[in-house]
Amino acid sequence: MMYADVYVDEPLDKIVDDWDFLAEKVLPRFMGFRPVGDNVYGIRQILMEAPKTVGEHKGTGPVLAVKNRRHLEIGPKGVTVIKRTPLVAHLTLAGTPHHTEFVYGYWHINDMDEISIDLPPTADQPGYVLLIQGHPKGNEADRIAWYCEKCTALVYMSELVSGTLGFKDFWNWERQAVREYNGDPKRRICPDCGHANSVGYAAFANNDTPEEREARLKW
Amino acid sequence: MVSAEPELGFDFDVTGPTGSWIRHGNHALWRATRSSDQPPYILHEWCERGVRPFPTSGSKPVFHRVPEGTPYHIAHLFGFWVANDVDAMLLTVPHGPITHLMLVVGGRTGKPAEASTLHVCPKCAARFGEATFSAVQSGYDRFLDFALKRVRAFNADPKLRTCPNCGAVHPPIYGFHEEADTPEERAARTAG
Repeated sequence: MMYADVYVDEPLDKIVDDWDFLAEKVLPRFMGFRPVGDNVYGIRQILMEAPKTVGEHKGTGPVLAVKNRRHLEIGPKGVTVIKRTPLVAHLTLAGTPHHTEFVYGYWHINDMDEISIDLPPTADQPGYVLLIQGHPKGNEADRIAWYCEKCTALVYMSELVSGTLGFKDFWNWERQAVREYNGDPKRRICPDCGHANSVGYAAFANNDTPEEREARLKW
Repeated sequence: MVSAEPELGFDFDVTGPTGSWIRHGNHALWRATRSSDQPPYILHEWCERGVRPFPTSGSKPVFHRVPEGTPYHIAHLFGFWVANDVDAMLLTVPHGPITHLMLVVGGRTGKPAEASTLHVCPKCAARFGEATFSAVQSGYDRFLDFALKRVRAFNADPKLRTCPNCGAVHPPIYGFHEEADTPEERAARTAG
């Protein structure tokens, strides 16, 4: 190696924190969304189980991804199912509402692009979803929205100006937005077609109410 | 009336053939596949104390972030050093006898906008010969064209290859796209 004479002569783990985000001791720090430098990262373990057991994990456990979940986006033609293949990165471009079944019960809309890639399991490690989202700045925001299940009209939306406020309040805001939406049945009525939509649920299943738990199994 | 539908998203197959850069939205992306009979790409970062190599870890995937402004070089992939104005990320996924790699640069609105090439002395780790390309928005490949011109000028002139700190003469280097190598560049790429 050309640079062997000038290698820093210390173990890497001692001089660089978190140099491999997928390392066993580092990975749990990314179970939520963690801003590092110019991106916000999330790593989710892919569960090899049916959605009916999601949310039965105790404690403050990680956000989990269910094996047979569908990834959905909303565009001019309505709801689109995004085929997911291991090692094929999907880029959800800024402004596209996206939702993953059984994982979070709302539509997430970023002002930044989001890259998601499924990493297949290895002999000694489960499969993971790696999420890389651009880091919002200034007025750039994250939004949680609900669109009508029947006609895709916007029903309700909450915004966090994450570019200014940062991500420290993301999960509190997310939980609060879900509770606000669920708290009044009138908020879930479509203003266009009058359909009464399902309740939403947050990404962390451990605080589900019974009705949120039921919704998590449904969509 | 002409109407253009907005693009919602797109797929980028990391297992596809080694290709050119895709610049789209907040990120520029590139992929490669290496077989076990090829020398592995090895990421190096420059720091005040010297050069740090980042190993791949056998059968497990590795995901590493190179912070904005940190000079890095990937042995056997490009022989110069790069410093971006935004973070870079390298995902390495071993899969049987082959390894898939995805290199991503970006994360902020309007970036990458600038990228620099430079050299690091293999004898004293001094940085030298830095030059910035300011039109990365027009495509990451244009930056790599700029870098290749600098590689060729560097290899052609021993003065440019002489470390201003210790006087050691840097060996020849190589550009990003292997298919464009001259015989001298190919030899340098093989040597790493």
